[in-house]
Amino acid sequence: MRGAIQVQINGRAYSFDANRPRSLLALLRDEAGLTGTKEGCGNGECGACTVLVDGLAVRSCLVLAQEVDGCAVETIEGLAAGGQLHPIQQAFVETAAVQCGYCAPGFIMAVHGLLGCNPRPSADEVRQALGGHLCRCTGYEAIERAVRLAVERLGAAKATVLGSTDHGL
Amino acid sequence: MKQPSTGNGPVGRSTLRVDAAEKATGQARFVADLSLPGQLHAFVFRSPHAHARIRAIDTRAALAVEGVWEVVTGAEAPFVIGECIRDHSVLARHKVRFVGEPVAVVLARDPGAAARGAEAVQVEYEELPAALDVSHALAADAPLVHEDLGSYRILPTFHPEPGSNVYHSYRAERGDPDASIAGAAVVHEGTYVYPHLAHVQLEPHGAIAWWRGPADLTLWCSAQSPHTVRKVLAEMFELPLTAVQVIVPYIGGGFGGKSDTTIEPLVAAAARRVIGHPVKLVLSREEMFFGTLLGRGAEVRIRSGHDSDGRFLGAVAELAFACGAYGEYGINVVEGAGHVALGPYNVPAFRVASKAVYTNTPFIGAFRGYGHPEAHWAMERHLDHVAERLGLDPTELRRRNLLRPGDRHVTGQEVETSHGDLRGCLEAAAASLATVDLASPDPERVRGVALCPLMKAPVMATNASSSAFLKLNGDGSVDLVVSGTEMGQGSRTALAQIAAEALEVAVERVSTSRLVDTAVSPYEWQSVGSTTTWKVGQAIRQAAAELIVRLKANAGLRLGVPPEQVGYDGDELWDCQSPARRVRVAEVALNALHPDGHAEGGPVAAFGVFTPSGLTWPDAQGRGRLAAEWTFGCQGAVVEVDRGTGEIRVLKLVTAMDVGRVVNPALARGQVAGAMVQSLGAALMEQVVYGGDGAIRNPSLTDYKIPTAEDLAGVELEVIFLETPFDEGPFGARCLAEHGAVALAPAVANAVRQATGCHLDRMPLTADTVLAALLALDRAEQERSRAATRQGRLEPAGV
Amino acid sequence: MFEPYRYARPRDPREAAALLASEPGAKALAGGTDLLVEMRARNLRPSLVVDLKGIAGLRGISRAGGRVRIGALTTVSDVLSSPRLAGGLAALRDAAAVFGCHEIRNRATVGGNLANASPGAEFSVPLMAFDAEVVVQGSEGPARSLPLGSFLLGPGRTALGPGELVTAVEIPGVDQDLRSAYRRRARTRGMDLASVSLAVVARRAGDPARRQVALSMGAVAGVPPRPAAAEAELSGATLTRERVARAGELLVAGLAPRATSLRATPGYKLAVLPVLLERILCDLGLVEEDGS
Repeated sequence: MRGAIQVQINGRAYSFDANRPRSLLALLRDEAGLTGTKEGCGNGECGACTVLVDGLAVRSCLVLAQEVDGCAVETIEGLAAGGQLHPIQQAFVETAAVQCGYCAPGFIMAVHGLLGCNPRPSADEVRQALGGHLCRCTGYEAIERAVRLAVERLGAAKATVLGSTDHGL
Repeated sequence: MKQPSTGNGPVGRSTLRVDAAEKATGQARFVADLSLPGQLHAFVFRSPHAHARIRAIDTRAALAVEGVWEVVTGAEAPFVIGECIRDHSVLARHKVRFVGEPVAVVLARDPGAAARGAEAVQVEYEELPAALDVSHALAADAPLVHEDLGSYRILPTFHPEPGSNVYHSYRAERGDPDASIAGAAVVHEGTYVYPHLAHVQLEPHGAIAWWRGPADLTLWCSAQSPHTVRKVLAEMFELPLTAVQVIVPYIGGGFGGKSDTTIEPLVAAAARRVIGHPVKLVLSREEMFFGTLLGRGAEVRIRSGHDSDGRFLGAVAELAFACGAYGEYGINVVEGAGHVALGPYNVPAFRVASKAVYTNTPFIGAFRGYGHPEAHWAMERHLDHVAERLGLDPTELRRRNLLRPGDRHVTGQEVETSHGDLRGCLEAAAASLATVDLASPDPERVRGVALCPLMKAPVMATNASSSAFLKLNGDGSVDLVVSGTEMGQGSRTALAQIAAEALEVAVERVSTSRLVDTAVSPYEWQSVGSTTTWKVGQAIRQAAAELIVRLKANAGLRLGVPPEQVGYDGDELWDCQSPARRVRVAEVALNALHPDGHAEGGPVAAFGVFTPSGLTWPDAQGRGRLAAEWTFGCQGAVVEVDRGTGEIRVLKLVTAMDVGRVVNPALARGQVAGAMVQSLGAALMEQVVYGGDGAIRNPSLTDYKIPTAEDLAGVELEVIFLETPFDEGPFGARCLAEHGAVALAPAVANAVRQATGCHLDRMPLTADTVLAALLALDRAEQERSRAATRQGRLEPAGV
Repeated sequence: MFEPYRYARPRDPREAAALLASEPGAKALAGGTDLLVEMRARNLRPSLVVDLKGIAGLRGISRAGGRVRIGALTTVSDVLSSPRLAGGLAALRDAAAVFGCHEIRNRATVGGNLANASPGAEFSVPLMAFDAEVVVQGSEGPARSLPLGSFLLGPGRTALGPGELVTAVEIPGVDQDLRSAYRRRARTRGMDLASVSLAVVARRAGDPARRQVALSMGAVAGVPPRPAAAEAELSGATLTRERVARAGELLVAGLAPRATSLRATPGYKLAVLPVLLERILCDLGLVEEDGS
């Protein structure tokens, strides 16, 4: 591969050494300094490392850094615009869906990816999208409430604020 | 903003967590997110044998690997630690005692080089017979995990049996249980098994140790008890406490598995070989299974005798815990299980023995519930058998035996009304469960319901002190500095609420310290046992009272009146004899500044303490003031079992608990719900599986399964709080964070028994084991068992 | 931490095959959900990772006549949402729905799942029952096609030679009268590997006298088997409960699942497979109700 990995992360252009062996997760955490994406298992079993690559939710521990050359990656750090919480983040805060916080970025990015493809998911579709995300603290009920709240608000916002870029949709 | 002191104040409100936004944006820092310039990475080389003598360790090839700086073994770091029992070799010396035991730590600038270095370490072992489970470890010819047990330093309150693998027993007795049981209408004996579990915190353990000089250590770690870590390290290296600074940022889940010390002594010991260079270790998920603490691991035998109405006449309970290779961390779990071995019941004559047994497996330590889930699993399953034998409704059997005010507990302590309304919790749970229809439209799917009462005390040192430091800022805001660690339970928020209530201000005025730094944060024994809200809360109240006194002193100076004459309402202070003369808090927060410019007084800050009162160690009969408080509750489950596949579908789970006073309803519910779901995992799917060689066969999330959101689909989860104020708790608040994990698993198993007739006395209740039990049980027997004890639904008392 | 590797992203299958043949340490990368797990465990240390995702034409589902072709790089999410796999090919959608989790489905590929050759592979099992054929390409010469049953040789072993890659899998005989389903047992309702699974494919489903039922099972043998005696019992006849019960017995006769599985005991698999069979056949509307 040629000398550099060129990748967009949260809308900004980054360039990384193409030859070092590491996952996208390690690239984000160790080289881009974006530590919001977490390593919970390293094997794609827990979901804490979830980011969006070209709009699709993936487990960044199972993606080689070289694979995202030319791609657009979104991490948790890109969601809040100018310090204002994204509606998904706001919903997680309001429903007490955050306890230790370690799984939260992964869940939030998964929800962000889901709502990007399916703005009005059913309860079953939400659970199917989140069935591979582990949380050991909350018992999931508050997280499901957060997702319902986010869906409601994003649906309402879309209806009334056409063309707004605040919500990062 | 004016606030009355109770009722409408911050306590009791579902205040939004103060750390939620930081965590939801990925800004919250955990140990793994921290990096120091020049840091080295550590990779732990571990034993492949459950029990073996170390003949030789050759590190030359490892040191020759490019990028490797140091390889540290037990020879260079011969530390043995343990506060209760000094048995724990930080790095293996002379022999290894479990698969996964650290034998060497490889340090390198690059994690890859450290891993490659570890692959090159060569060790010559002489394998020894291993005792992999309790029955093997207790056998007469069992291999000894610790031959030198007799020479270990051990606190006088613990009772080892040198020459065996039993390193402690808690014993308690009252009356002559054998005689009482001999005269009973029904006698039942059973064995109940709770396997080892893993905590599965989402955040792996991590630590960064930096020796700036040989007597100057700073350690960042994901540890629930920073002052314990400080103490252990200072003793280990024979340094004053001031030479050791422990800093704990956010913890990504603890559940007890990050209490005491885990990897900190290992990392600090390795780092001491490279003074001047920070050393970072973050465990892999696999290492989380054998490189820290496991939980549970109990086999319990109960024999009890009951009269024809089901009342206990006598009981004998023998508990044996497979504590693993080192006993320090499990010793009090065994003790706590012993205290509650007979459950929340009045048993007139009893004998309890709870044994801590060394085994050649990874060691256990605190895990949410701390011996109480193990004890309740056994007693509640046992009473299910007894109910069936008697043909008595299981709930009625519990009612007839529940502890009442005036009864004496195993520990000899008397139950008081102020301990909480145990009966009320039972009836609340029963009423909640009664709303679920037990009739299933499909004959292949059968339903059952059960409830299990619970009690838990924090099992802790008799001198488990807390303290808190409040400092008032120049704008009237308040910094609250404590050593209670935030691991997700919401302590930063709840403690701010308590401080705000005590100071009569809005909760937004108080900010709880984001991290704990033993150099500046006031002493806290440990953040364990669900005690932070209670103990630290009480210390905060004392500090708040003192803060107001000092504030009034500044105001008095400013107003020219004695402090006793100063009124205070959270926002302003005034001369009581001439109330129009007022100042705002902010004006006198730092000093009293007079109109002519001269100043007196000084910054306002206060310190408060709390130590639970009157705790003692147990006497020879196992009695004493051992429980600083109890929290009573009752949990229940409604399940549906698919007879064709053995799959259990949970329909409803309920926990009713008397928590004294709810400080934050949303956070309190979150704690109880989280504990219930953890328990559901234990009930249905979790266990550490060992191979014949003593290695864990499922050290990964691929094969150690915990509940997912899909497992909770369609599950109705109810949490009911009763509030009988706890007179030693802040505004009446009692401990609650672990309690949702104490009795849920037996409620599920008892409900399965009601549905199917199958008694499952060993966890977890997988579809595999349920189906095997169903096939083994004749259909007619199933019907007979169900009819014997089921009246169709649980009736609340008085109906 | 991964050992160092070189990374290549070829544009066409022959170039990919040539790269795979060029050194013993060359490994194909599709979704990465199996390969990176092995690399992290240091079980596999490829010197050259050949990323197949740059090759056009390997992803997608097409249908020509009665043949459905699934490109090897078709993701599991693609399978889950493809309208071309509705109806008779429902077993594939069933498998996709329980495969891993959402993020894994976005990356894992059908070709990768087959090439990994796990005894419980979610797609191997229904594709065996569909009599699927695997299309394999080397660096020279034409593509070759072989039955899945010949492609899968054992746990983790396939008939792929050095420098060969799977380019597609094809299902013959797809018509209006095809019905299928795939069910499995697992330890949780969330992400899990299969404890045991069963696929049922019925051709000429609506005509009992001419109906052909094919079965395959996961996590019972090194390669998902085709239980001929059970298939014969269910084919060419009206399905009563008694016949279904007999087929259930034949289904598990001779199966010897390994006792060392962490996911389910052999006894469980043997007990539950007949139950799954009866339930699937009922769900597919193939069992004659006699008023019960």
